[in-house]
This record gives sequence, C-alpha cells and structure tokens, in this order.
Amino acid sequence: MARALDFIAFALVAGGGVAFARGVQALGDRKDLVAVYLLVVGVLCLKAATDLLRPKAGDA
Amino acid sequence: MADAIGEQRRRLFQAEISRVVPGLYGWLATVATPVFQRGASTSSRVMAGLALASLAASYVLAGSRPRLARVCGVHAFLLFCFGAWALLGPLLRSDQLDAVRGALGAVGFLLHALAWGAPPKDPDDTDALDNLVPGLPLQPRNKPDRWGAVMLALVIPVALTPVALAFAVERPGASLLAHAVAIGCGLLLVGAGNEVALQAGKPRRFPAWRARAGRVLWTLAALAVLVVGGLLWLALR
Repeated sequence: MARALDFIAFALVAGGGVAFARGVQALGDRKDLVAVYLLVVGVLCLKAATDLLRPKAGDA
Repeated sequence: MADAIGEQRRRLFQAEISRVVPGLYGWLATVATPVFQRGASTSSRVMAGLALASLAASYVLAGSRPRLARVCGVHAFLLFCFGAWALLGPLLRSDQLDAVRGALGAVGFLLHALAWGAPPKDPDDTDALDNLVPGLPLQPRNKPDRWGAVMLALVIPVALTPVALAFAVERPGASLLAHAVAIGCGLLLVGAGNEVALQAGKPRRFPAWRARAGRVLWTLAALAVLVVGGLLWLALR
C-alpha cells in the first residue's frame, strides 16, 4: 500500500505538471479564468503529493 | 608540534582566503566596475565600499567570531551590493552593462554562496560546527530508492513543459507573464518532484498508510471539488 501511495504522489505531480502546462497555454489563448483555475489545480496537486509523503513531527 | 600547528594555521588561512576570493571577484566584476565609472552617485560608491568592508571584516573575524563573520560575509556583503546596484540609477540600464562581465560576476557570486555553504575546515572548532546555520539540523544523506530516481528523471521533462510552452504565448502583454508563471511552475514542479522522489520507498519510517492518506484529505477534497466543478462548467456552458 505504501508503494501505491508513492505512485499516487507521483501521479499527482504529473497531474500538476499537466495542469500548469495547460494553464500556460490558456494564458496564450486569452482564457485568463481558465488559466487561473488550472494553476490553482496544479498547486493543489503538488501540495497533495508532497503532504502524502512528507514526514511530520511525531511520525517517527 | 610547532610544525603541525603551523601547517594547520596555513590550511585555515588558505580556507578563509578561498572563502573570500569568489565574493571579491564578484564584487570587482559587478559592483566596482559600474560604481567607479564616471557619473555614478556617491551613495552607490559608499555602498560598494561598505560591501568590500563587510567582506574584509568577515575574513578578519572568521577565526574569533565565526557567526559574526558569516553575518558580515553573507548578509551585510549582499545587502550593500544590492544597495550599490539600487543607487546606480540609469547606469544600471542593460545598454550600459557588459553582459560577459556580468555573467562572470554571477559565477563569482555563485562560488561565493557555495564557499559560505561549506562546513568549517577546522575540525576542532566545535562552536562553528555546532548549528552554525540556525534551524533544525539537516537530514543526513541516504541512498535514494531506485523508483525515486526514475520519478525524478520523469519529473524534469514535465517541469520543462510549461517553460517551453510559454514561448508559444504571443499575446502582447501576456507573454512576459507567461514566462514568469511558467518558470514559477517549473520550480514548483522540480521542488515537489524532488521531495516525492526522495521520500519514495521509505514507508517504514512513517505511520500507517491510513494516517498518510488522511493527512491530505482536505487538499484532495478541495482538488476533487475543483475538478468536478470544472467538469460541470464544461458540460453546462
């Protein structure tokens, strides 16, 4: 299960990358709202990915 | 005995010199050159002089007051360098600066950062070694998991994708913003990918997977709401 969570975290990072890439494309297409939406989605993906694996105080 | 002490002093002297020289080079290439040309303001020259004095003070204080030497060599030196640049005014325009000298000076500042990031050379100097940089002690190195290395290798092209796509943004007024956003996104991706790659394959040090999954419940819930909302918006428009 732990290995599955590792891959979910990696999938979230990849999803964040896709969201960022589409967000930059949306900026060029004059879709500012869509760009902001995709950038927020990307940031949440990365936050979820790192929180999933990052040890916190008291974990040891 | 005297020879050993002399040898140790000589090595310490060389270590301190090697710590100061890159900063001095960066200062000469990027601060002194524009500041001491005709037309530069007196205040920028004073700032440049204070930057040099800070660097000299860091060398003098390195043996007796390592923390104060660090404050002088890193914080005060860079602060006064920035002050000198800020007070240069129109002389800081790109057409007034030598690009090659600036690039070489940037290398000097890079080496300056690396030199000050290195641990003290004197193994007996426990005061300098003991938590010289405030904060939590740094984690020791360990061998990364094989899948972690693969993940990191895959994340790098993913991080470069928005940076490459930003070059396709031709809309006036948005192209510079697109580059800035893309670089920020790339840095976020590299940072997150690096963290995921380093932590992958080390589940034994963590609590049960349920606790790890529960930790991100709110973030995943917000993500799910956003994605479902986006899909609904796409379907209804």
